[in-house]
Amino acid sequence: MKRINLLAILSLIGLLAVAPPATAQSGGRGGATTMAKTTQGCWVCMYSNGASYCTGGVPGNWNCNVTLENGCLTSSPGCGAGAMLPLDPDGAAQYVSRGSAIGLTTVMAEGGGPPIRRNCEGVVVARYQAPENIEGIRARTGSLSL
Amino acid sequence: MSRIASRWSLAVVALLAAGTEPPVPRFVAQPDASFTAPDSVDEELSYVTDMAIDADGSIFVADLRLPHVLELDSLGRLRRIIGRSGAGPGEFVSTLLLGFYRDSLWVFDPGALRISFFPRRGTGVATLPLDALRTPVANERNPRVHRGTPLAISPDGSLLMLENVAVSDNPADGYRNALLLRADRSLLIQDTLARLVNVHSVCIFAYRDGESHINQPFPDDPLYAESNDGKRFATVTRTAATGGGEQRFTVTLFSLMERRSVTREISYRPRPLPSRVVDSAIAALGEGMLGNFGSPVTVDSLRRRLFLPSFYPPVSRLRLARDGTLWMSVRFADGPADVTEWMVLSPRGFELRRVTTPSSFLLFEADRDVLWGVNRLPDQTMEVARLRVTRG
Repeated sequence: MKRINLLAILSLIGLLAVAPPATAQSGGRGGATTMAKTTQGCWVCMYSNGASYCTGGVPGNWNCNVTLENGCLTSSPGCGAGAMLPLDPDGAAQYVSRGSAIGLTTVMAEGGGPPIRRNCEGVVVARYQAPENIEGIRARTGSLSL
Repeated sequence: MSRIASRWSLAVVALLAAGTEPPVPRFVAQPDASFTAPDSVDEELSYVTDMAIDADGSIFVADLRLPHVLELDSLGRLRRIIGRSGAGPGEFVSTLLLGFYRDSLWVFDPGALRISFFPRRGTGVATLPLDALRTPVANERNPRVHRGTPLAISPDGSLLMLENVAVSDNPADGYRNALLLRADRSLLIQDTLARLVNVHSVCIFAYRDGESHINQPFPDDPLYAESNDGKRFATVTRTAATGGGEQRFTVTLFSLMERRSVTREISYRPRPLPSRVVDSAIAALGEGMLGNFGSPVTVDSLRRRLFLPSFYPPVSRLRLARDGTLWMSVRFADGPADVTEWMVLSPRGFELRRVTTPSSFLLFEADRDVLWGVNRLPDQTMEVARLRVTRG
């Protein structure tokens, strides 16, 4: 069991796990929702002799995940350009979106709970979350916009 | 001595007269009981991408998911953790490749895009930033610099670089070629050592929300390997056969210091790729990439777009050992089924022997009868392992 839990922690998102989660930002724009702006510094997937890896990005942009057996998965070409995500206008530290942008596994919950998936700006993508998990995120952060 | 030589000559003459080649000696590699890495080390490992062995048997391990390098002693015990998470000197986002340069260990961080140099004994760090993805357009004032992955550093300070080359703006086309370049210590390109086709390695699916870069299960693009001391590298062309008759693949061994190479052609009979193996591979990809990571690519789409040859490519993995031998993981018609078979070539490209290892073993380094690598465990973690080669 210890090994499984440790694996879960190590699987956070692989190499991007070392970066702190990015916060959703409104950039001072008004209104309940605004469109995400393109984020610079996206990671890209490279390949070297049998190993895929994420390279070239800025820690904190959660847009690339990699596995040994399968390869890479990147979200949102342009890292946000195609995401069309509503952003929390008050710039809350935690945020859950039902946007269509793909989510990458960033936290494997202890005890067999559902994984947390974020888009490239660090926003939790709600369509992958069970209702109780969304409630958990709401309870931890006190801010949720859907 | 002369009598022995005479008998050997007679034996060779007899074999030639009979029209047969001498049988290749076959060996088996088994776990070395004197080597055990602690569980605390093995539990950290899940994506080991490189390993280097020092002259005293010390082991340096790079895992793409870790922001540090593990140094183990010759018995497998953890000696030190090199680096930590961060962006400062001696810190990493992740670690991909490592090797030796004179008295230093170098480590390439694909996240921070730089090489860090650590003394093999003692403290201190030097950093070489690479800026690998922002290449300026070349002109007289700004000659072209590399934009690739450093594979090795030669004793004279020159670097062997890999550059992936795209041929279109369509992300689904990916990188269709790979260039093996030699750059000087100021990172200016000096030579293009090889241009390798790169069409059956990764299958890219682009869609509105992102891209899935899926490792091909049966790639037959050329392979390359470099020695950890930066003195030699090798390439193998291994196009999958389309028929069952005798086939050939080509091995080229380069000496970077002496600036020369030798090329050998090797004959083999291809092994058919069973449909059940194909089905299993596609199912595993579906479970891994599509099921666990939410990729919208369908299994049906995978089956249509993946490269699925009728025969296994002859070589699936390549390592240049520190004793100068070349280790090629081969799949031939007459090879064993449930273990990995290695064809071992001399530094001049002649076959020395065949060695089998457990199929879970991923070889990184070899020195005569000792092999270092990792075992892939069912729970997706890895354990550092050392094997001993014995007569089969």
